[in-house]
Amino acid sequence: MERMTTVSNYALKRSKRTEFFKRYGIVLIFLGPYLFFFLLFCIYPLLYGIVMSLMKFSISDYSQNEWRGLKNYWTILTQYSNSVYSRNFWYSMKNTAVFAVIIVPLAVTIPLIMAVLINTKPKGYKVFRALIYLPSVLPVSASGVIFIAMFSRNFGYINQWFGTDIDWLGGSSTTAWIVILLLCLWGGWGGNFIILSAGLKNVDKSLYEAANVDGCTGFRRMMVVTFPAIKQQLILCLFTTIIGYFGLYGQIYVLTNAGPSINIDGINYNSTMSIMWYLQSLINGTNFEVYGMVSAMGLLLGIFVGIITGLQLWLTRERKSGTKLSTEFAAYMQTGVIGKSAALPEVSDDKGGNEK
Amino acid sequence: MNVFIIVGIIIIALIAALLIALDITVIVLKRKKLMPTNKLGRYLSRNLVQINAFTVLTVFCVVWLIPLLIGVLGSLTSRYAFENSPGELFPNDGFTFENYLAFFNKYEVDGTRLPVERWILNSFIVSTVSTFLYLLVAGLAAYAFVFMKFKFRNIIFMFLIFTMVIPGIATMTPQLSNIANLGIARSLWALILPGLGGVGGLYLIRQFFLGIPKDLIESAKMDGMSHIKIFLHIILPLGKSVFLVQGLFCFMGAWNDLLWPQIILGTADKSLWTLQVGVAYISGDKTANAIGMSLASAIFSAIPIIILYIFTQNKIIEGVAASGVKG
Amino acid sequence: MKLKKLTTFAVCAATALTCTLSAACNTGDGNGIVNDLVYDEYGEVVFDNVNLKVWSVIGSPDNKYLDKVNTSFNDYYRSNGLTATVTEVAESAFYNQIVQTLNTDPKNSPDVIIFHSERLAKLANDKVLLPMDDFYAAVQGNTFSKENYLSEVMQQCIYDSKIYGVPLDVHAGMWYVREDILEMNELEVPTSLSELVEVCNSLIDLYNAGQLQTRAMDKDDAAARNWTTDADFGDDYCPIVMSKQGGIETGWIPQTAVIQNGGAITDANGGPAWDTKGLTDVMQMFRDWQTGASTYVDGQLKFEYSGKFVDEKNDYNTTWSKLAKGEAVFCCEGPWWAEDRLDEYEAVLGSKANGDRFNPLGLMNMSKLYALDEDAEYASKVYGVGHCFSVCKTVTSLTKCVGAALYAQYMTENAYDYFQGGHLPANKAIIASEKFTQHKSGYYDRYVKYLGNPEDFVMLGSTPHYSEVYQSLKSVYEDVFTYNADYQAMTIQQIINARVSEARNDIASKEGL
Repeated sequence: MERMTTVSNYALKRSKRTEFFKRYGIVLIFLGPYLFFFLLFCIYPLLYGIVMSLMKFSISDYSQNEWRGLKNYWTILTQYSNSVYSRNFWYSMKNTAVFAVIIVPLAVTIPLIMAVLINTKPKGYKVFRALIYLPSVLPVSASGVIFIAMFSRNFGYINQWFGTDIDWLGGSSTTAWIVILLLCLWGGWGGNFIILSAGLKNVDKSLYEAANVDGCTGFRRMMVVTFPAIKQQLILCLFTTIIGYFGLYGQIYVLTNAGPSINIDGINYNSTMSIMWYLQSLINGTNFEVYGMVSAMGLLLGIFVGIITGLQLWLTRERKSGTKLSTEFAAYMQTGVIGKSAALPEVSDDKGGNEK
Repeated sequence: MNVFIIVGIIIIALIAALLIALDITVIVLKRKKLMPTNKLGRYLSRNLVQINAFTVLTVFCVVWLIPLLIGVLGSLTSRYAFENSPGELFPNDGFTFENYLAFFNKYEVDGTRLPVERWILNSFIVSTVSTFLYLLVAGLAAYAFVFMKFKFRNIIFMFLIFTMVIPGIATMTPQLSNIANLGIARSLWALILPGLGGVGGLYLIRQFFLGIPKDLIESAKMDGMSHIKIFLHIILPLGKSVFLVQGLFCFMGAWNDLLWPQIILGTADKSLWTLQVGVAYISGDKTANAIGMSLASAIFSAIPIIILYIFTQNKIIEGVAASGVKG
Repeated sequence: MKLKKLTTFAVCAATALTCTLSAACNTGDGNGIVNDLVYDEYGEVVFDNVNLKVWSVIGSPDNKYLDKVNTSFNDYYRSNGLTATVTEVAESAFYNQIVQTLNTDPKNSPDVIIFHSERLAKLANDKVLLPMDDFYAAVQGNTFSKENYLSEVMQQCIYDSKIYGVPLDVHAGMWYVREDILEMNELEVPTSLSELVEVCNSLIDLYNAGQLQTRAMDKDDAAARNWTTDADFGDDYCPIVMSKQGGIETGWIPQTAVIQNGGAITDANGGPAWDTKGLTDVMQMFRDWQTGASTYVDGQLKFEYSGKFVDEKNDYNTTWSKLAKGEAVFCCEGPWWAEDRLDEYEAVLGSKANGDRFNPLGLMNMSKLYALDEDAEYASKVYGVGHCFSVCKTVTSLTKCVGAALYAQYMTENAYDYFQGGHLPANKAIIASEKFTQHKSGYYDRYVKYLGNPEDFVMLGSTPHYSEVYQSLKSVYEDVFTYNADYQAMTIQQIINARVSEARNDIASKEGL
């Protein structure tokens, strides 16, 4: 008797099924292409890379491919004195990290100063904005060539104008790094400038008015009100710049191609080598058994960068932009309890759980 | 030192001194309430900050643009001038377009001509196709993440964000094998397709969609519009600004990219190169007689971007601000 | 609910991992060669419209001569249905490209490659090439034999006791000499190191005394072409051009220096063996040439110099211009420029053949030029580089393989026109033949004979560690000549030790992968 069912029940079930399929069908149409490319070109290479890094992988002679377990990682992390891969990896990581640490403060404060200046809206500020951002739009190969023309020893503009005879790009590693730094400073902080400009623009005007009422104006207002208000953007800039400069490659390739050579403790290195350049040189070299090792290096770098990003995400999540106190206050008013435990259930629309 | 440098430094010093003097005068006068109330006085007291900003910005921009000036003027300088009278912005024998002509007529050591027009075409194709495809694919996906309800929606998105953490560096080598296995290794698709899985643009577009009022969509649904219709008729027009911004980012990113095309395309078949790879290759010769042409090629490769930029830079900045970059 | 989600996710991840694992462990297709040989009634192999795709590393200006030989091959074999098309690929990209293309794009990969034979061991080791012994055996009555070729050069083409390549030529860097300046000042073209030092000293002395006669090879300025003793080349006259960076001489001079003093470049294990005392002494001498300090060998004074032989501001751009101006008398470049340069100089300054008093440009090979002991048997040896033909592993049809083998054989046995580009033959029959020495263009007497005796050429040695062994030796030379203060402060022994241990370390790391 249970097998017999009413027409309405049957119709209900059937329409539920078709609706279910309809709903998920349309989702597949919308989401499918993106997920397809994502899985194919992001996830699959990642997994493949993990597998590669656990092997000795030759792209020329597959019969040499053998399982190695964690040996590649072991070599990189511990065999510093024996393995040229480990040495070059750490040397280029050191170069990249030191460079990032030096340039990041500059690449955040300079755009900040510029953004503040622009934000005061002097005459023609739109023109200034456009001009400041312009060099960041140029491709690296273009701006690199301009800097080569400027810093060349025999005919470069800098040497000619200042009457010096310095071989900027090939004479010593210090001058080469200086030129690379200048190139990055010229073309490399446009993105930060935009983000900080936008952030400054979005600062709540009521905050400024409140500060004015309190008699806090001018410079002091900037320090106490404006900067904390754009803290999110500052942190975003800070971390994206650090991560971005870990990928430093184009400027080095065009300017110096990781030269000049340098000798440290009897071992030769390419003095302006960055980690990306090193990986690229291995891939484009003529030793084809190193692909497993290169994957391992890439993954280690990825893990390192991931840690930094995770740090950023953690830092920015902790502080909610100014509403923490007000929500606590509202909760107190409702429940009479002071403190975080009394927080109202969150009604945020960008992190919603499973809605019905 | 070149006389112009000295003159320039003196001018900057003078400007700085004048500015500081002006600031001190105004501040002191204000303090002592002795500020004159005529038009000039009122103007100064209200706009002091702007005047300072304007001066500093002007000086900064002049110095800032010197490399660009060098680039453009250098590309118009003849090879002879570089070899014999280097360092002159305005060379004695005048400006010449010979470098640009040489760029299009550059021959390899073995006598074959570098296919520069192919490079321009390739760059153009890759940039436009990948921009268009990405906007389409990511737009649809962002819509799905915001306006469609389905299981795992948030988990999948979290996962996407999570993978953003891992830089493309880590997957360079396996990506090569991947592309080879897919059979697209020696074609422009190898440049276009891998980028379509990028998360950054998706995040931006989704962020924007989140700002679209929900009731608009609800009422459309109640009117019986299907998702596709909603997407075409409501979201697309509303989302013009974010699509423009993201589209510009896509285009610029694809046009300017150097590392990936270099690795992927290999160097034997030069007709597959993009413009950036070609320019980097030409610039390998850092000698005096080649630098003019390298500069010409560099400026040439940057011109489309500059033009695009001039017309859209306002939109970019407003767009990033409007999407409420919350970090 | 959560557990379910987790388990489904874990299962998905696990399957994905195993999929990629199996994909990665794919040992590739076995690439067996299909035996599709068909013989005609005369016992010859039938080629049914077989076109060989050839990638060649030989660039301008000698590629045009290779094309001539290729055309004659096509003319000869076309009626048999076998042709070949040659594409040039730049050397800097060639060796990476070959492997990438063979593995990622087999459809577009070449069938035959013409490349530097010193790289053969590495390519064979990477399973890029096919052994050719069987291909020749399949052709009845074929006269191919490795005895037909110079033993040193053939040795480079043999790997694992199989023939992987057929050598085409051998060559070395040449010194281009302003013979007219030497003869005008009553000096002779040197034939050994001590003579070179003497000649250079005389040149410097003459210049300092204001009596050095020079003239410029300048096609635009007639006045500069006249002999004069008043040419102003600065305070020092530096007769030898050796470039700081980017010059081609790094690939020949240090290697020859090693060989001429009794050493070898590669050891039995394929590692570097060039860190010999001879190299140290010669590099020290080069350093002394840059400063003008005297050279001591084993504590004994060997050479004294009247001044700096080598100017510090050289790079590969100034090589030809200094020679043309008469500012230097010796410069080192590839032999493939010989024809063009001789034409250029003789057009502007005349030649003995046209009744003028001097030959403006002469050629010197490196025999005995860095030998500290000129009587030793190895003093006349020269480091040689050669090209060879090989068959790529992507060829699966045995007919095509045989065609490729015949192509290699024909090209190397009939390349008389090719040597006009400035190379010496590797095929013994060609060396002995009159078609070579009496070639209608006269190249032999004009410049090819100055390349030296082909029997004197010593090669790198067969090693799969080509880049480690060879590049580090090149770097030694660059370190000795660089502007970089760090390297100028190091002793020669330190420089050599650093580079050779770098090479050994690279090899060890690579093998320890």
